[in-house]
This record gives sequence, structure tokens and C-alpha cells, in this order.
Amino acid sequence: MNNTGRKFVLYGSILVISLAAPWMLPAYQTQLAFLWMMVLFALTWDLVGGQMGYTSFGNIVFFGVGMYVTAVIQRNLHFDIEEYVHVAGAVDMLTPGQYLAGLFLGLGASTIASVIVAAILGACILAMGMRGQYFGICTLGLGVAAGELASGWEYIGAGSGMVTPVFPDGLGERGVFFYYIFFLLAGILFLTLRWLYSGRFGLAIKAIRDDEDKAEAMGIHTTRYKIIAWCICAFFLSLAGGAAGHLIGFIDPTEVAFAGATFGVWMILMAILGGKGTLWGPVIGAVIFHFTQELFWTYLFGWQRVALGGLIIAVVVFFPQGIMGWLRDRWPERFGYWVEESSGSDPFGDAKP
Amino acid sequence: MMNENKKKQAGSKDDISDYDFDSSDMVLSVDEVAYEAERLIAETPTMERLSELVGKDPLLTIEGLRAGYGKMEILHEFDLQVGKEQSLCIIGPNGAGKSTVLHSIYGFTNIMGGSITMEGNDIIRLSPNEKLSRAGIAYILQDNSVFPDMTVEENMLMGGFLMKQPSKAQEATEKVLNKYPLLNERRKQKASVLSGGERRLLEISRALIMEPDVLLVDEPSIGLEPRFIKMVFEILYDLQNTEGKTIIMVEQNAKKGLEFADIGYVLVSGQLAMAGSGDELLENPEVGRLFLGGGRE
Amino acid sequence: MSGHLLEVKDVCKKFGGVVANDNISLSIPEGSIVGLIGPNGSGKTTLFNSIVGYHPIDKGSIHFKGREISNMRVPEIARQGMLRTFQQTHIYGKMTCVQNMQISVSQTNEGFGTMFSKFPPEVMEKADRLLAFVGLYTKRRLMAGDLSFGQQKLLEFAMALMSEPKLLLLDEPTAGINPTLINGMIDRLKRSNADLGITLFVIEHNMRVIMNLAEHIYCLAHGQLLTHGPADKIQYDQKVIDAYLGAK
Repeated sequence: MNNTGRKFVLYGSILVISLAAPWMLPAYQTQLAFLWMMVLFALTWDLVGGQMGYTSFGNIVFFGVGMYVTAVIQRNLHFDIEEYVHVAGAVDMLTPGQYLAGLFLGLGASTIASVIVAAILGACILAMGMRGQYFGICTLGLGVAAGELASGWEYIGAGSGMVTPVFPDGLGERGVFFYYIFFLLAGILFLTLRWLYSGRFGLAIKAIRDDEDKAEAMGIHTTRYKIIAWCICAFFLSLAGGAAGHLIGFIDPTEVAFAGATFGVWMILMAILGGKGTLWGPVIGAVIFHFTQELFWTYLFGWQRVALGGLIIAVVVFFPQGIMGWLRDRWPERFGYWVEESSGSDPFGDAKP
Repeated sequence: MMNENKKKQAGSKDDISDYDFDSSDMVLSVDEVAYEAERLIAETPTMERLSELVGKDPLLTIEGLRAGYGKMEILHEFDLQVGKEQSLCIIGPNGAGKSTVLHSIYGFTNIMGGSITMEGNDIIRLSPNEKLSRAGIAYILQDNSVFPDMTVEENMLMGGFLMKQPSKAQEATEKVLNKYPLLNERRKQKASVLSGGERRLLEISRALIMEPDVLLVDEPSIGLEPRFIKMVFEILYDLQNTEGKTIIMVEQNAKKGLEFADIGYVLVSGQLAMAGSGDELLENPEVGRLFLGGGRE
Repeated sequence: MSGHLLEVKDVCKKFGGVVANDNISLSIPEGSIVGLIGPNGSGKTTLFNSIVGYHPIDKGSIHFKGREISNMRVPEIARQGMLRTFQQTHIYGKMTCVQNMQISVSQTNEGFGTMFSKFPPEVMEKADRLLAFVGLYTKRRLMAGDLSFGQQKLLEFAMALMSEPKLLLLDEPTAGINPTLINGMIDRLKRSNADLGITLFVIEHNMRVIMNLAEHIYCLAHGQLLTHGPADKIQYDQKVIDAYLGAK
């Protein structure tokens, strides 16, 4: 089978299995929905961290912004704000139409909000020339700061967080609904990145990663590329955040929305585990990580955090090239790195004066 | 087959003709050179021939070496012989694997086959540390390998890092600094302020701390102005003839390298294409045309 | 003197207590090939860094195509059409040789629209030709970081030619390159200058290269401009012989 044929089979089978999954494993619908969310986490992190070399510890900011904005729109559209009960809220059920309207309007607003945030942060951090570990620490601070800000803001529930509306009847199963939303998001993200990486954009961000001084010396608009990459990252993370807030049902500022110590770290680990800087690496890393994590929670309960910590150390210390990196080192020819046989003469015949 | 000293006396006043002002009209494409070199590889020198060039018992012998990085094999069935207190220069096109030979001797490559022996003992299994501490082989890297934020003296002490006692390293440092007043003057200065030639001198001196028998020198004259090139070769001459070191070097300034060395090897695409005494190769018009940019016209 | 492509006037640059460039003035006419020679540590690379905007200068002015550029940043100056190669080779290590060449396409006319586009086939063809010239055609699919030092230097050279700048500053382009190939490089540089109109400003220690290449040569020593003149005269200039070519 030739290359195109192989690709067709690969994508086709993934599509078929993915579409059928929630029906085949009904007990795991929510976990599978989160699997696609993890894929999205890993892919978005990899765009800025793996492909472009800017290790960010604060991408969770965009996730949280998305989550809150969608929830706020949903709430404000349908409820009287003063009457809204925070935690043990007994609120009226929404109709499917109202729910969907709130959700999709909210998602739309989320993307706008998060891209604006990314652009502002980019102008403050990236345009100022912050690189490497300074960038990393700065973004770490951002994640923490966002959580603290949200914890103190009454309008969005402060420390108690917010509750999103109960999933209405008439829209099918909750697990199935959100499964397809996350699958769709992850799928669109994957295809978008595939398109981006195949052209000028992909090479430019890799050049920034490999040697930013050289890229600048060649005249590449490095600041533009950096900010746009972060904005794309923010866009998709905010959509995931908005949907996640509605799937989980409650939004805690530090544990759920701006969950830097969990989601924020995991997105980095998944990309590294699968092989950062590659298209499929983050996907593979996310799948393996998610399954491993579920196993730890089920069978090592009480020790699951220790086990997860151990996994993080093992990957970063012993396996930093990740699975795709390891495969590429082992079989370079299959990934396109090979030496052609010399034809024995000047192939273009223009070396002579 | 070994040559007598043919180098200029150290300290002579050189005239400008010492510098290469020849024309650059001989233009051959990389592929043409590779193609013609294939012919030479077909007549690759035998082990006997290499032995002849040494003329006595070899100190270091490489036989049938296959080595590279990761899964890529760079050297294919490479042989080498060099005798005690001799100097050998490897020349050849870029990417031929010249540095890989030095890397392999020292232990930085993936060795896929063949043997490297020193006075009959296999040294492949020694780690780079052990190459220096036990086999007496020192490696002088290609460029810019000083520790920039350390002083000259501290850099020299680092050369003796593997010694059992720091005091021994201090002693050895004093000895070497006394020999090179140019460095001694700057011993308390940070290595980053040294000019190119002084830095190279530091790199060489640092390698002498452990009193090695063999020096692997990767491109001694690269990036140096003409006077420092002269200085470096004078130092190497002194190290070979006065202190009895054996020197294996890679040099892209092929004319200077072959003028200096007793034995010359031409490496092309990971294989030994030619071997001869330094002078022999310099006089050879093929070598001149293909590898020296025109040779002696 | 006015109206030259690059005009450097009284440029000064200090690092800590050390004066690296002391009142350097020079001028590069469009379409010429100019050499810059001098001992190690005389300030040649620092001067290049000053010109391309790698660091701000303490005093003086630099005009490129008639515009003052001493307060512009590196990418801006590069997009004006001035590129440089580095003494310590800089290439993109985790991309293939072909990709290195593709991303080296001139950035002068890059806008938001072209950011997301693919490279046209002419780019690929040009890249292949230049790679063949430096002997990297069969290795074009390897990661640039896996090449030998000399091959990386050749790749950087090819990348510079790929972008066809107005003015190209080359910092010791032939150091570590095989002498036979150096001849080819000299030839290729001359052709780029004659056919494509690329003005060249070259730092070199290899006398054979600079004498065969440059029309006019500037010589630095101890951070100052020692002298300058036509190539065939400079090698006999006593000041140059004393400071640089002669014995210590």
C-alpha cells in the first residue's frame, strides 16, 4: 500500500473507532471525553513548547479564562445574578435551546477573551524578549496569579467558584454529547496544526526554537510568530475550558479552572512523553498518560499521586526524547532522514565557472 | 620512509611569501572531487604500506574501524598506524570523517567494528576519562573549549581534574605556565578575554597537565590569524621533538598540516584514500588538485 | 564618499573597560567586495555586530541605503536587506538541510498574508542547487545538527546565498573549509556579486581568499582602523605587515 493509502487507513480507522467509542464503552463516556481534552492539552502545549521551544507553565490561564467566560455567559443569559446560588444551587432547569445557546455563545466569547489575553500577555512578555527559563518562570507565575485573582472575585463566585447548569433532558446522554464536542475540538485542532506545520509557519517557529538569534538575523518576524502561536494555543484551550466547565459541573478557581499543578503540568508531561515537536507525539503521549492515570487512580488509590510523580520524573530524566523521538532515532529513514546515493557527478552542472 | 626535520627553525623571521597568496582558479565541484577520490579509494593503502610509513613499532594502531554517531556509520574499514614521537596529519574534504577518527580514538563515537590498540593493548573499552588517566591520550577540541568564566589558571587546573591530589595539579600547572610566558602573564584573567591565539594556547597547555603521551589535535589553526598559526605549529613542533609527544591531528589548512607532519593521510567519505609522508603528499599533484586547492604550482 | 551602500562613521563600542571599536569609519560602495582583516581580538566581529544591530553602539552613525540604522534592531535591519553569517556557525539544528534553506528565503517582503503560505516550487529548486554546490545535496534530508562542523558552515554559507541580500557580511566564511572547496566558494561569491549584485563585506584570515576576492581591504588593529586600500597594495603596506602579517 502506498503512502496515501496508508494515511487513509490510519485516519479512517481512528475516525471510525472514535465515533463509535462512546457507544461501545458507555461506562467510560466521561473518561473518553477527557481523553480528547488531554489530547488537546498536549497538542496546544506542544505548539508553543515543543515546536517553538518556549516552555510555558501557564497555558492553563487560557483554559480557566475560557471556563469562566462560558459559565458567566451561560449564567447571565438565563439567570438573575443576585438569585444565583453558588455551590449547592437549586436552580431551574434550562431548556435544551437555552442551554445550547448559552454554551455556544459562551464558547464564542471565550475565544475572543482568551485571544485578547494572549495578545496582551504576548506583548508584555514575548515582545519584550523574554526567553528560556525566564519565560517559563513568568508563565508559572501567571498561572498562580490567575487562580488567586479568580478566588477573590465575587462576580465569578470567588473562592467557592461557580456551578454550571445541569445538563437538560432532550439532548441525549451527557457523556455522549460532551464526548463528541471534545472529539470535534481535538480533531479540528489536529487538522489545523497539521496545516500550519506543513508550511512557512511551521518552519518559522522551528527556526525560533533551534536558534532564535539566527532567525532574527535572517529577518524573520519572530515576535509576530510567537504571539500568534500563543493566540492559537489560547483559542483552543479556551474552547476546551468552556466545554470542560459544563461537563464537570462546578468550577473551582484553583483546583479546576486554573489547575496549574495538575492539568498545567500534565500537558507538558504528555507532550514530552509522546515526543515533543512532532505532530503525533502529543496525541500518543496524551493517550498513554490518560490511561496510565486512570489505572493509577483505580488500582493505586492513596498512592496515585506518588506514582504520577514517579512517572513524571522517569519520563523527564530517562526518556526526554519521548516515544516519537525514540522511534525517529531508531528508524531515521522512515521519518525522512536519509542520505541519498551519490550519482557520481555534479547533478546540476553549474559548479564550473 | 620517515622524514627528517624539515620545519623551519622556531623563531625565524618569516617573510610574506610564507603566507599563501596563490590563485584560486582551480575550481572543482564537491561531487567531482568525490568522484575522482573514488578512484583513489580503490587503491587504498594496505596495512603493510602504513607500517612502512611508520618505520618502527607502532604506538597506536587502528584496524578495520567502523564507527559513527547513533545509527550513522561514518568511518568504513579505517586503518591507521603511528609510531612513538611521530606526527600524523589527516586531511580531506569536509564531512569525510576526520574528526570522527579522533573522536573514535578518544571514545566519543559509536564503535561498530574493528580495533584500536595502543602498544598491543585494546583501548576501545576505556572510557574517555580513562583514555586520559590511564592511556595517556589527551584530546584538544576544535575550537572555543575554554571555560570562559574561569581564569586562565583555573582552566589549567581543570586540565588536572582527574589527578588524585589537587596539589599535583597545581604543581603541573606551574610547570606548564612557566613554559609559556604568554599565558603566565594572563594567569589571573578570565579566559573569555583572551584573543584567539591565546585561547588556543590555553587549550593546548591545559591538555598537557596530565603529561599525556599522545595528543589528538582537532584543527589546531582554525580561526587563527597567520602569526598565531605559526606559533601553534611551533609549539606542536616543540612538543613532538623536545618533549617526545606523539601527535595525531586533523587540519583543514592542509598545506601547513602536511608541512608539519611526518605522515599524512587523506580521508574521503569515511575511507582512507591515500597515505604517505607529509612531503610526498604535498608534492603529489593529484593531492594538490583535489584537496589542497591547487597545490604547488 | 556619500551615497555608498553602507557608511560607518566614527563608531565606538566599549565592553566594560575594554574599547572594542574605537572611532571606526568605513564605506562600502554598492556592488563591491570589501575585505576586513586584522589580528584576533582587533574588533572585527564586534564591528560586524555593531553594524547589524546585535548591540547598540556608544557613539557614531551607521547608514545603510541612506537610512540611519544604528537604532534599529536586528530583524528590522535584516529585512532592509543586510544579512550576516556568524563566526561560530549558526544553523537550525533540528530541521533538515532543505528546511534550513527554505526558511532562509528573503524576509524583506514577508507580511501577515505570507506567514501561513507554503513555499513555491522555485524555492525548492533553488535550495537544491545551492545544496548541490556545497556538496550537501545527497545529505539534504539529514538533520542539520547531524552534519560535521565544516558541513554546517557550508550550509550556513548556502543559506546566506539563498536569501540574496543587498549586503552580506561574512565572518570568516572559509575557516575550517577544505581548500579545494574554498576555491569554489570564492568563485561562487564572485558570481553572486557580479550576477546577483550582492555587495560583500568579508572578514578573513586566509590571505589567499581575501586577496583573490576583495577589491578594497580595511585593516583593524587594537580596536582601531589601521589603514585601508586596494587589495594588491595592502599586502605590502608596512603597517599591515608589522601589525598582522609579520612575525611577532
